[in-house]
Amino acid sequence: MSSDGNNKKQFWKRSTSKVPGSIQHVYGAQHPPFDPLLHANLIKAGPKPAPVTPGGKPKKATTFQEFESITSDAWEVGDDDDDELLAMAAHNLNIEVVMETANKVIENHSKQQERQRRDDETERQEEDEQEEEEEEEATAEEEEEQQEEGGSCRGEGTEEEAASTETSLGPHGDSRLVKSHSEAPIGSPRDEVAERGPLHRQRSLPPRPPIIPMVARIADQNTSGSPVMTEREASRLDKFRQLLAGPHTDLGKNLPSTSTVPPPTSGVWYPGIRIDIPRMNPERLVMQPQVTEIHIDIPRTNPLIPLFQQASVQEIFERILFIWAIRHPASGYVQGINDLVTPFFVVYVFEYIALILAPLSLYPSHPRTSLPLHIPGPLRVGAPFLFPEAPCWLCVVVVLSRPHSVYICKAGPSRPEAIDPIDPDQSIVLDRSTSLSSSIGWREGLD
Amino acid sequence: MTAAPYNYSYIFKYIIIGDMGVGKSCLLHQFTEKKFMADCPHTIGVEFGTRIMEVNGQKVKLQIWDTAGQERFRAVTRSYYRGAAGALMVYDITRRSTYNHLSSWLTDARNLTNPNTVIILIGNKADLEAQRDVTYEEAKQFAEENGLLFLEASAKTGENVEEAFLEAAKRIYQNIQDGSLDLNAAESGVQHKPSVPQGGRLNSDTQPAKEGCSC
Repeated sequence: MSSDGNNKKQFWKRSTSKVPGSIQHVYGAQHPPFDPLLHANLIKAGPKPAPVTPGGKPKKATTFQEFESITSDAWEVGDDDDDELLAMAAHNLNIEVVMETANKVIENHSKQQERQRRDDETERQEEDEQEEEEEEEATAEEEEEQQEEGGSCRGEGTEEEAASTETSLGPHGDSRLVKSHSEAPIGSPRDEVAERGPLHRQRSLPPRPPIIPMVARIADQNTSGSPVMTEREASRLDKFRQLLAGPHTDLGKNLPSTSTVPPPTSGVWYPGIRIDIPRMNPERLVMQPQVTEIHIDIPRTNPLIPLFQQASVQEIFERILFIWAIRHPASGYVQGINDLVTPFFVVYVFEYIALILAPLSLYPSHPRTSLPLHIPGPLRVGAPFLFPEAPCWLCVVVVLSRPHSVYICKAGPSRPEAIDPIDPDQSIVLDRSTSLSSSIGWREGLD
Repeated sequence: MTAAPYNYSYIFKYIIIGDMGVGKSCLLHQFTEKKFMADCPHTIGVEFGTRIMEVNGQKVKLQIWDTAGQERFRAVTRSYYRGAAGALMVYDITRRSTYNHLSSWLTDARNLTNPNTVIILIGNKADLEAQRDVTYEEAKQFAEENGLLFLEASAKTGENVEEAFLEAAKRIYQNIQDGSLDLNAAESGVQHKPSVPQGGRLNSDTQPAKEGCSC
């Protein structure tokens, strides 16, 4: 993921301020059709100077921004929210730039930025409107798709599903699982306490102390030896992290789309969905054979790699598999799904270490897999969307959705509904994150 | 090029069936490798193992199909019952549910194998005496009622593992000797391999017995 970012950076560095040829709006050749009202801000964004980057690199940012705004009509409307994040970054930087570069430039800059911030705010409002419209479209699409895909057994557990409330897979959602099987390691009270630990810790952090360590951490991740991320990127990342640490961040509303997430955090982004767990009788839940089956398979998932014997890791697998199973009652848990979770988990656990914990090199690693032998902490951060658990879950859902629906189709004419209703707002985020994020890109190769 | 004579006289086909997590793969591993594999990974579909052992003075090659236990895979594993000379039906003495499912496994085994197939019931994890959930007596009674051989074994310690495979092999051999198992019958699960090479028959080494089947 970080290498992705590097490539991008280098690419833009080489580009000059001028773009070969003239790129102009092509009316009537895009979908949805060009609407001058909606796109006014995009046109405006072009000539406007980019937010000033500290560290004397405004030129590069300008180049990038100019290019992007000139060519913005070439992309889908939904991809253009970068402006929004830039606005956020500018807001953040505004404080910092003043602090760091208190010199002769300061007056000019602050005036300029003050003006710009006002512009950005109006722009943001416009953008929001635009996004809402887009979301409505997507919702309609999603509903169609759901009907098409078919899903959960309408027979058993319908009342429970109907009674189910939208629950995020946070500590709250977990507490239900606690009731469901008290003996199981999943969501035991100890876990819940431990899980809240890091959140409190993160929340109590002063607003911006860890900027240098963060840069160092990301730099540690960059094996290619490319230059350390710019401060703009760092502040983006940091801003992002603050939002993540917030107790009730609603990714659908508070944050822009996936395309704008700084590369190292793109994994953190996916879980912008809420998982609604059908409310079921706890006794019945324990009786479900799939719970037993999952319990049998968890300890023998990658048994030779020490990390997978760690309790917090096993709990993650357990929750992922369990939620998948109850959301796909037509098939339930099938042996081998645990092996499908593994590669995603490995990807996100590395990201977790780089992002949340100290550099990977601090951890003694397994010689053959280079996975750490043990990772401290509860290994779940960022309620209500939990990292690295939720992205794993989402990836598995995406990967399995296709073969699964094929199976259901072949199973018979009265195919049951395998997928519970998803909050329409949230499903847009899912849709976006799956289609836009780079690390899930390989999945498109499967389609 | 002349092939060396077989170092065994018969091939017996075995299958191992039973609920997931009862230790089917571990039993096979213990039998073929003489090692215990803790937390051995689950089996998807089927796996396979062989070992040559001596039965009543005859070298016999056991060709063992280890099936996946999860209900989901039954559709796949059912196709492997055919032509088995012996079936090891395994349950876990520490988990009653695996014992309760035996009748379903037995039904499958009876329906999908030939009448002469020797079925041996194995209560695995006998080393976990403290967690025992199924008594020896009731399992023994179940086995007698259904005409099964019965042993309690432990894939961990290796206790009775060898014996389980051997007991079934002895019974199969006995059936061959007394003529109740027709070697020429389709799907007998047994191939006779004369120890002296006889022309083209050598090449049929790995091919199933049903090759010569008339049906």
